[in-house]
Amino acid sequence: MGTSLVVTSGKGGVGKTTTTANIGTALALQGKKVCLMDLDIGLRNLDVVLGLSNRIIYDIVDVASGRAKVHQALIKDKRFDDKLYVLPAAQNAEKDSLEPDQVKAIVDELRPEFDYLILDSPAGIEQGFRNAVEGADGAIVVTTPEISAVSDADRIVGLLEQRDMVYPPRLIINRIRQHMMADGRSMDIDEITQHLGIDLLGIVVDDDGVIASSNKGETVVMDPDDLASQGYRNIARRLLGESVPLMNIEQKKVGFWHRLFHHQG
Amino acid sequence: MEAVTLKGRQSGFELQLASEASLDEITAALTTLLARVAGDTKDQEHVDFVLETGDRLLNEDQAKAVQTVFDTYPQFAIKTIHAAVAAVEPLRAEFAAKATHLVGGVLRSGQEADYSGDVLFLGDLHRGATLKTTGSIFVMGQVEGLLIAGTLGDQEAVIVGDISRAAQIRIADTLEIIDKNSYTAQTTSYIDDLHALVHGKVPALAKLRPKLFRKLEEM
Repeated sequence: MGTSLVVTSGKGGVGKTTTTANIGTALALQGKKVCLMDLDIGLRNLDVVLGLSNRIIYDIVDVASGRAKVHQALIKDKRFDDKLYVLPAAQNAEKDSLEPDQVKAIVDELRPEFDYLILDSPAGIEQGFRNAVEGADGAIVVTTPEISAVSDADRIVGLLEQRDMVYPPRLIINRIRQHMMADGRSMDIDEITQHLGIDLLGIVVDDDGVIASSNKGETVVMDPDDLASQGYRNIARRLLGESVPLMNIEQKKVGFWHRLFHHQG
Repeated sequence: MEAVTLKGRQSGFELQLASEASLDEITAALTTLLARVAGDTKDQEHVDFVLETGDRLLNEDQAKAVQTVFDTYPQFAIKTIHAAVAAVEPLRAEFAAKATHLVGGVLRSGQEADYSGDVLFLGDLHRGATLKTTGSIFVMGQVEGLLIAGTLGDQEAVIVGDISRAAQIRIADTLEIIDKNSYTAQTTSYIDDLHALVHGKVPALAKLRPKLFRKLEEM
């Protein structure tokens, strides 16, 4: 029986969809069978970052309303031989055309076939959020080292704690700018984790590769040398129960000679 | 033991209704007693009685039965009915309204806790969270949200503790937006004689609000 996890944040633009896609990919690379579900009705983009948007035939609203079987709507990502599937959101449906019970039913139908079901929640705390949370056994709260994102994450954790989920919510701090954290201009990891009072699942640095790869319809996790990719891979390993130490994000001091010979303009 | 005993007190006449006697016994005894008293008093002077019911609470019907006995004598009236006991429920509510609640845990953004009585807060109040009560608030945890004391307009309510990181405090109808740099770690915030929200040192509280320290005695 698979575990279902919701990726949520409250605030928009902190990287929920990117996180969903990358954790899903990383788990698939570890040999797990993963289903990603996009619950952002009307603004679907999980399929876009994975480069699968041209293959959508049916979506989650079609499944919920009985127009299609769930297996007709699932898109297989051929790059990960039978390990990664996406259930896309509807693009032309009303935001409230999906009910929490319907999401739960779909999740329960898919649960026996997958190891992990990851639900990408929309921003906000309305219907879309409730839909996503209803189907989940646990939550991954994504935030960035900004006061606005942390404050929204706090609100979300409060709402999640009111529900009796199987696993307590866990935290990912995304888009960390190493130089700002080093000189104290952004909130640091301990400060955020302590404030929110939930377990830290992992950290991901802000990295050009994330945007570049998603523009190509790929996930950054596919590039093993990338720093953000390592962050996501570590998160996937921690989800699988491994104990992986937090990566060191302190930047190396760039010396005079290095700068002289590696001038980048 | 007589079912009804007449006593003269400094404040006036008192009728003690024995709590062991049944209501029938009491009304019977009361009828004969009032008849005797009415015979003894020659002039039609008006007399008020305090009814002392001891360990019994008269319900509405019982009080009415006693009142009917008095109705025969226009010169006699019941001033008050007083008992040595009280019903549990209203007492519980009164106690809850005056008790000091210990509040712990984390209040997160968007969450609101509402109490009646005083609150000793031993948790974390995050930015965007609200802690409010009808009485005073004593803070020992970390507070970054909104504190509201005296929600029903109690001017005597105070907020004590470290409010230097709070967003805002309100007492009754006054409020203050906290300027992060102008507070010492421990303060007492209260409404002064000029109806302004001001801050003092914690030890000053004993003189400012002596009643806070004598709560049990005054219950």
